[in-house]
Amino acid sequence: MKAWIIVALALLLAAAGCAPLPAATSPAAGITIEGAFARPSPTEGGTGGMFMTIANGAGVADRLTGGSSPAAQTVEIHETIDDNGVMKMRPVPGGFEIPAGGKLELKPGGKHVMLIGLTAPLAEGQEIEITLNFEKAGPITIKAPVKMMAMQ
Amino acid sequence: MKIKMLFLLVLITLALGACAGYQFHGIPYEPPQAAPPITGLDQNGAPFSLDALQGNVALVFFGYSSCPDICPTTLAEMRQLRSQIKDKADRVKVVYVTVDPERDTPERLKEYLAAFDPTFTGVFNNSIDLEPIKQAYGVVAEKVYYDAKDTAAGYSVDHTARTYLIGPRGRLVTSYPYQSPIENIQKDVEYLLSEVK
Ligand SMILES: [Cu+2]
Repeated sequence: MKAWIIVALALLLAAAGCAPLPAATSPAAGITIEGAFARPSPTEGGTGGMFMTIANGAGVADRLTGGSSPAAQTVEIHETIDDNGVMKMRPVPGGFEIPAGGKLELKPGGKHVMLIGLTAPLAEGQEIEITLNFEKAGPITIKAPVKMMAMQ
Repeated sequence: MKIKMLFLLVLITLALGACAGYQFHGIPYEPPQAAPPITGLDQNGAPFSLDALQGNVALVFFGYSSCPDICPTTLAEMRQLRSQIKDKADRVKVVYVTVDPERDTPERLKEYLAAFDPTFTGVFNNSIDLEPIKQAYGVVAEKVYYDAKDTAAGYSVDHTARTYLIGPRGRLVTSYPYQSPIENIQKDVEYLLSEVK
C-alpha cells in the first residue's frame, strides 16, 4: 500500500517536471506582427481582407484601432461572425484589444483588417504596404504579400 | 464452441461490410435529390445551365465579389482541390453564383474568378431570377447597410457559406459548411468520379 503511494507521488513529480515552463517573464517589449498577408482581390475600387497575428510583448494591453495604406482609400477593422451558418461581417470601429503578453489573431472567417476602395487590384505575388495604428505602440508599418492561403 | 464463435464473427463482419455504403462528408441529402436548376449568364455573358454539367462533378458556391474573406477562402480551397485531383480536374466544375446582382456583373465575375482559377464558372442573375435558386438551395443572403459613421464599406451581404456537391447524374449529394477539410471534399469528389467513368 505504502509502496503504491510512493510510486504515485513519484509519477506526479515526474509529470510536474514535464509541464511546460511558464511564459518568459520579460519578453521583448512592444508589438510584433507575424504572418501578415492579403487576399487577392482583382477589382480596382473593390475590397480586400488582410490577416496576421499580432503579439503584445508589453506589460500592458494595447489596442489595434485602424490603419492606412497606399493600396486602399480606407483601412478598417472588421469581424466576420458565423451566426448559425450565416456569415456576418461587421465593422468594429473600436478595434480589438491585444492583451498584455497575449496575441490577437486575424484570420479568414474571423477578425480582419479590411481594405476598402482598392487603388489597384491585388494580385497574387504582389506586396503591399500598410500602417497599422495601435493605441499605445503607435503606428507600425509593415509589408505583406498578396496570396491565396496562409500556409503557402 | 470456439469454431462456432469464429464462424459467427465472420458472418457478422460480412454482413456489416455489405451494408456499409459510401458515407459522404458534410451534411448529406438522404436520399440524394435532383439538384434544383441553376440558370443565368456566365462570366462571358453566355447562357448557363447546371444541366449542361452532367457527367461531371459540380461544386456550387454562393457568394459575391466584394466579400473579402469567406468567398476568397472557399475559392482558394476549390482551386487547391482541383490541383490535387490532377488528371481528373477537368471533370470537377466549380460554379460560383453571385448573390449580389447590384454590384456584380458578368464582367466583374470574370475579372474576379480569373484571379483564382479561370476554369471556374460564374453565374449571374438579376435579383428576381436569383430568388428561386436561393430558396431551392436554402441559401440566405441579406444585404446589411452599415452606419456610415462606422465604415466606408456601404453594405455587406450576410450569407450562408455552404458548398454544394452535385454528382455526375445531376444529384445533389451533400453540402459542406465553410472551411470543411479539403481532404474530405476530395474523397467525396473522387468517389463520385469513380462511380461514373
Ligand atoms: Cu471586412
